Amino acid sequence: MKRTCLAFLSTLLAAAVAAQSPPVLFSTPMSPRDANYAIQVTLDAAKHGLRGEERIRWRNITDTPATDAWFHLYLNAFANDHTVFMTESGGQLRGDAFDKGHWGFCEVRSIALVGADGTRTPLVQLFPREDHTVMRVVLPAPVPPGGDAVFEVTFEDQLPRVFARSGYAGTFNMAGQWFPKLGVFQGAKGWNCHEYHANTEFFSDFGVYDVSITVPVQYVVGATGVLWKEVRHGAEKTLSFHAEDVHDFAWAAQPDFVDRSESYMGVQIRVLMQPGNRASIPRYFAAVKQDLKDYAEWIWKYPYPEITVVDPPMNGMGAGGMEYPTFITAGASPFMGKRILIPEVTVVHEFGHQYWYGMEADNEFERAWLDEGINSYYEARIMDAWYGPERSFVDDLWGWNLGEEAQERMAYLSLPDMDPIVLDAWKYVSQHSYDVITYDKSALVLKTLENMLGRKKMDEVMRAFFMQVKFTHPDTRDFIRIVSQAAGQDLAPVLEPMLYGTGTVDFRVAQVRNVPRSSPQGYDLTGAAPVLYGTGKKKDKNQEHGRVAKSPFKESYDSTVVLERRGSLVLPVDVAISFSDGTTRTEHWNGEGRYTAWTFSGPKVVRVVADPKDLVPLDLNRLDNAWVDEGDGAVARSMTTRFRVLYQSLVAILFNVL
Amino acid sequence: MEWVRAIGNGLFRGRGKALGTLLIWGSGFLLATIALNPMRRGFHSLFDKAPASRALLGGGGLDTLFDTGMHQPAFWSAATAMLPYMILLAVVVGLVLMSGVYAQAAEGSGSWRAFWRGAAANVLPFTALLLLNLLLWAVVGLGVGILFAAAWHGVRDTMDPARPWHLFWITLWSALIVVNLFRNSLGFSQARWVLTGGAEGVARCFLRSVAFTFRRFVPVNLMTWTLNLVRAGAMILAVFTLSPGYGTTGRWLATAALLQGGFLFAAYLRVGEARAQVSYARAFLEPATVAAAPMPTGKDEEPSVAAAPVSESGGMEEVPGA
Repeated sequence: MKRTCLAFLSTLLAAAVAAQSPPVLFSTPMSPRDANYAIQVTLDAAKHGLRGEERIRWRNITDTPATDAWFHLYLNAFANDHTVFMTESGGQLRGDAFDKGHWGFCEVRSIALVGADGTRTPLVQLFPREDHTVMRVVLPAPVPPGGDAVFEVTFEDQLPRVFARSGYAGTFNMAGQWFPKLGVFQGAKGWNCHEYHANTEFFSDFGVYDVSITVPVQYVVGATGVLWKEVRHGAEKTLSFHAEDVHDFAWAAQPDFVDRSESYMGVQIRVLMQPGNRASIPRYFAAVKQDLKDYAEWIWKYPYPEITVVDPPMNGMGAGGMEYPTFITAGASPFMGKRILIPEVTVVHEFGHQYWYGMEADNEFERAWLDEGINSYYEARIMDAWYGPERSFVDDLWGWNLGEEAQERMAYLSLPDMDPIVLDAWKYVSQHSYDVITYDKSALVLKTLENMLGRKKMDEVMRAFFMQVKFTHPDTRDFIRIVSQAAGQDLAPVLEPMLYGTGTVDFRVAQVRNVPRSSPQGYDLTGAAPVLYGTGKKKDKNQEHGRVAKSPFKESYDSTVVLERRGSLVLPVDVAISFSDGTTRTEHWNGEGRYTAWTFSGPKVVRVVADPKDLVPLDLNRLDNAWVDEGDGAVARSMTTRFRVLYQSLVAILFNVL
Repeated sequence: MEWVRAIGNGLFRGRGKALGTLLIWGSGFLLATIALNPMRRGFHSLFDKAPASRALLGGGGLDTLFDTGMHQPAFWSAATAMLPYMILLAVVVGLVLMSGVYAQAAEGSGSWRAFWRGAAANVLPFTALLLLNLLLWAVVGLGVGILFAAAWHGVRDTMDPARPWHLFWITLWSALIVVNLFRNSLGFSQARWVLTGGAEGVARCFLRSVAFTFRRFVPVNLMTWTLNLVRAGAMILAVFTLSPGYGTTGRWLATAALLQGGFLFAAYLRVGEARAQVSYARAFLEPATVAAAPMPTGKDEEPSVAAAPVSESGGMEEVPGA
């Protein structure tokens, strides 16, 4: 099957080259294809500049006429330090600092509307937003529903030094968000075309991309889509790429990329690696293969013929860990040992965006959790399936392990409740809050949902959601509606507080009380003859009344267990209660009310554990979920041993330098 | 190849190695135990009532540790309360012990009495030598640090993606070299002090030893790096052999035993290094300069001054006042 697919793809590309026209990848379009781009661009390798021309064919698929058109000019976010992006970010994004000596921009030299007869009507550029990352043109005549508009644009880019996904570092050039690009027309609501904010990513319509990239001959280029033609002319070469049913196009160029390809499940996997990171090439391939396998099983088979993974250089890490259709950037480092799985996690995550962003094209400006959160949930699942849930992030690093879910929970704990999950990305209180809530908390919400529904049902639910929304722009309401339908129950009461609210939950064993029952004293009249029970002490006054019997009662307790729910998020929980006779019983609490209590008579309660199977990952503090009558000291002993390694090593080092 | 001979003398010949090794290891063990005792008690109240913390036993539990740090501020104080005191005490104890180790190496005696006599006599000058060396190498380290900070700033403009990687290694090795130069300079000044019986005074001893380590830069560094490699090899071996979990008493005991074996070996290497430095320094000092200590005899003792190779043309360069 795999060979057949590859042979078919090769034949397709060969035929296309022979015919001098791009190949047809999908005979039946998977998407509306309402925003189609044909772009010719040339890289000035010395100046890291791009000079390009594009022809955009846009179709109005709404029922409202369009009187204007809005475009993103994303690179203008780096034109000066007064842009929305720079003001919001302060020139810092995820630990990467902007280099103010190397600004970037995207300048539209000309824009014209091409009529059906080929006439060109120049359009005036307007800048309606706070900065020049958004451009508007007024159309000479409205584009009616179902009608087309063709724009011809010439533009010139200056790539900044790598920052926030795009730019150059040495000879490495990463062209992301590099061309003038249409916003999304939403009918009566107008154009959805936000400024480039520090926290936001992107939103655009599907289409067909034909992009020709001219670079110096020694450059290796990776891009969205399939390479179907390469023509050399003097010291330069032009590479033609073709992509269908995608909503963005990115490319990277560097002379000394280590270029490796493998095929798996009918998909050509191409890795463009930094020379110093060769050792990590197998890690990238393995991660993509794991993705292809698991997504095919759980969601849908990856439909595109190729996926390209680009490894940015160490001083260009701001371009790493980013997703574009059929093209992702990762991040490896020779410093990173094999036991810290960041390269694998990064590739697994970015590949996952081919589904959650690539095909399920939510509005990342406004509802980023729909791609980042769902994708983070699947990232954890894939890594867990691959390495095991206990070590899917750190795999036995000097005796320490960390699972993906645990890593997401750690991030969540750092800022769990400042913002809701459903929020415009630029409205988060901070970048950190955006990251934690959109990625980690969202993933944990889905994990909670999985724990409630069961893995099998969760798979059905998520597959139903994907299949219904693929190649569209879904919203949170679509998610709640579809998963409720697929689950066969209204999940809104569970999901809405978690998605729209900032509530948290913390289960706590508030009280465990064991009151010993005293043995009866005096006469027991229930038998044939009265029996006198004494105090059990040596000097017992009862002995004056005759023979004193030993109480037949066994040790017994009246026990009370109180479980408290802190925080406003109401979630059900199980509680395992163990007794001194070795038995354990599981109680269930629906979470309603501030607390609940259980009382028992009989053996002593020796151990209480709320959420014993860790099914509520949103619980803020798991250490107070449980109580034991007496600890055995094992944890303190083992932790002290770990610290002994540090302490005694420190002393040894001091003795070595004295 | 006097440096090879010196390593052999340091590690395998002469009396008193066991005493120094045991004292160094035992002091480290004791200091850590004293510092860890309140921590163990603190950990007991933190962890042993919370079954969730049992994840820490199985080689996992970084998140549990994170939970602990977030919700139990007492964890941090329990984990670090004694650390500053332990470091201070370790510096004092280390100076005393190394004074004894170097003195014993110079005397060639393995006796308990000689060790402590040397320790008492040398601890103050050793402290002075440590301070002088710290002063010198802190200044050098600062200078090197400034240079590399500038280099790292400059590498942002590089057109070559491999350059940051190269610069990282250069930075790392430079830092290691500076640390090693400090150790050499201190070690040889201590060796010189015990060999000359302090006849030169601290300042002169320090200056001559610094000069010596630079004049004999290659063999001195080969000697130290050889021992460093053995040390690093042992450390890597220990780390990779560490038990992945502490869930059972057997595993915990095995891990603890392996750790202590590693620390014992590290102590042995430290004593060996000190003795090698004494042996090497002695080979290049004029007989008159060497204090009237009993010279080692027999095949398992350090070579006498007369054994210094003729090929070492600078053999007499260290004559005081020459």
